[in-house]
Amino acid sequence: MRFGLPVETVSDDPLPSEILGYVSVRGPQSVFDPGVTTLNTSAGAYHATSSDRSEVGRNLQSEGFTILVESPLGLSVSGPPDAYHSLTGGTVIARERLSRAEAGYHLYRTHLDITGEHQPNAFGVGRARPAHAKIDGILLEQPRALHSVFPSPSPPSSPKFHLRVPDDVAATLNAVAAHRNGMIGHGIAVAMPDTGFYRHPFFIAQHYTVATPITVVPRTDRSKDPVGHGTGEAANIFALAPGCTLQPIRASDNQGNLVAAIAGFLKAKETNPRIITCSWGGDEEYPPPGPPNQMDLAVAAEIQDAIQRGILVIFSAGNGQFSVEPQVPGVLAAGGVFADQSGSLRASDYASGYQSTWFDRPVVPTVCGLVGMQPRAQYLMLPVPPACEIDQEEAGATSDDPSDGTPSDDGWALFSGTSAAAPQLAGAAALLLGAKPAMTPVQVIEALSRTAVDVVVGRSFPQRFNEPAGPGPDLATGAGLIDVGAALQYATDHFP
Amino acid sequence: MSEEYVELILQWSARTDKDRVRDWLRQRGIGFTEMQTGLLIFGNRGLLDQHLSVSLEDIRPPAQVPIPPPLQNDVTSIMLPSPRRPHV
Repeated sequence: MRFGLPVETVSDDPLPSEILGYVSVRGPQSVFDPGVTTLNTSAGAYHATSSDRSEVGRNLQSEGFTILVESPLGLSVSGPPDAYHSLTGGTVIARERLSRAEAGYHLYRTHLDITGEHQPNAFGVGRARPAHAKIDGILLEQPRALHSVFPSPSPPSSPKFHLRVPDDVAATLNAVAAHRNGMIGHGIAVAMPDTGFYRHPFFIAQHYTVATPITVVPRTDRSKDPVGHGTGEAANIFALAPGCTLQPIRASDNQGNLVAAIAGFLKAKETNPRIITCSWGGDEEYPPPGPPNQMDLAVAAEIQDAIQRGILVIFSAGNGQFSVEPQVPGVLAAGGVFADQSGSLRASDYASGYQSTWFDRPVVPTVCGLVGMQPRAQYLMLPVPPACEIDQEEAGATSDDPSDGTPSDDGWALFSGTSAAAPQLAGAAALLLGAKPAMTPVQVIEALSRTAVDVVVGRSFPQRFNEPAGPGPDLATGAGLIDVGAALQYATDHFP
Repeated sequence: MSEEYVELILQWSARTDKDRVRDWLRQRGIGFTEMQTGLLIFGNRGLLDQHLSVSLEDIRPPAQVPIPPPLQNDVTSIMLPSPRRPHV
């Protein structure tokens, strides 16, 4: 462990199509023999005969390798993963290993290893099948590439008032006692279609469980998040359900545009999670000139299908937007409440809040999570890929809002929006489901709504909706700000 | 050919020969996945432009896209949905 981080962790990088390696041809002595810990004083002790090298070279080519360079000791080669499998009987895998890099940084870099029943324990070293007796060892070139500049696993400070993940969010939403009692949403699967997921050291240091991301847009990298939105907002889920399992689904193109949101949602359904959380939507005319169009209905039918399969579907209400997704009956629509330094609550003026006229549904949002105020809702310090779009944008000042107080390439940024509220609700729901696995989505929504803290001050996005918060349920905040501890108690008292 | 990824929503007609539509898409290399009311079809814009005989870049979503003649008996509409954006 270093800085509290494991030396090695899972890799989301796919294996390269061509892997560089080195094949040692057996000479009079071998550094791969058991017990060898030092070098012979003469390199000639390791020289293979010319005929053996030629024979090994021919065999390697027949297995699918390309010979790059030859030396008296062995051959530098390039080949696909299958060729290494054929040569060794083992399997090539990728792992992220913490290693020293430039300017005193430590980076997680992608390393390759050959694993299998007869393979050596040494990382990156392989053993040939018995049929290749003249090969005494195989090395995989390490590391393959720099992953990125290493961001800190701990959030930086900022002169702006803000909340940190996980502790401030967990405390403000009253989840700490539940966590202490072991209610952490253990094993509950949460799927999140978004711009992507970067395995930031924050997630590794916190020991969160994140499945290998799935990407739905061809020729995009499942380990990347060009915008940083999916990565940062995912931290909100774990703030409330540190034991859940996140399945990120990348629905963005190489520029980070969310071009495959619908495909991402369909893929999320396919993974059959307990919860799907979506922090995005369209934007349409408000008040709507008529009923939803066919496109909206087609998307709504997919959402309805997920709900009827028993999946809890959460959509963000929007940051001034009006779209079909949070209005679909049965969706848990996530709005925004701002908690200031003193703990006082008010409706976020950054969040959408309105009466739906499209379906038999009274209010968007259903309940709220924590969201900042206008102009930019810089409120939660969230981990992002270093120098991604959000890292850069939030670090810059605008005419009415200073910088978030962090560098533009440090891998942390101050932001929120109802994008943050949706995964907070997902985390709260995962915690409830972890404690009471038989709960239905309707019961989860009931528990969160009946126990929410009433918010009586503030208005929803004034430029468009301007609905006031007030005593009891209202159009600005729905039932109010979720209270995880109270919702858990409600679930315990009311549901089997 | 534009590499930009695009997704469209195709809706079945009442008398759909679904396999014929799937085959038509498959033969042209257009990706699809099942939806409750039809298919989500997707691919790079250049490919979709070519086989749907449109210029998707010039269409402002949400909008209907002309249905190719071979699919007109099986499909009631092909729609370019409005873009979805993160609520950050």
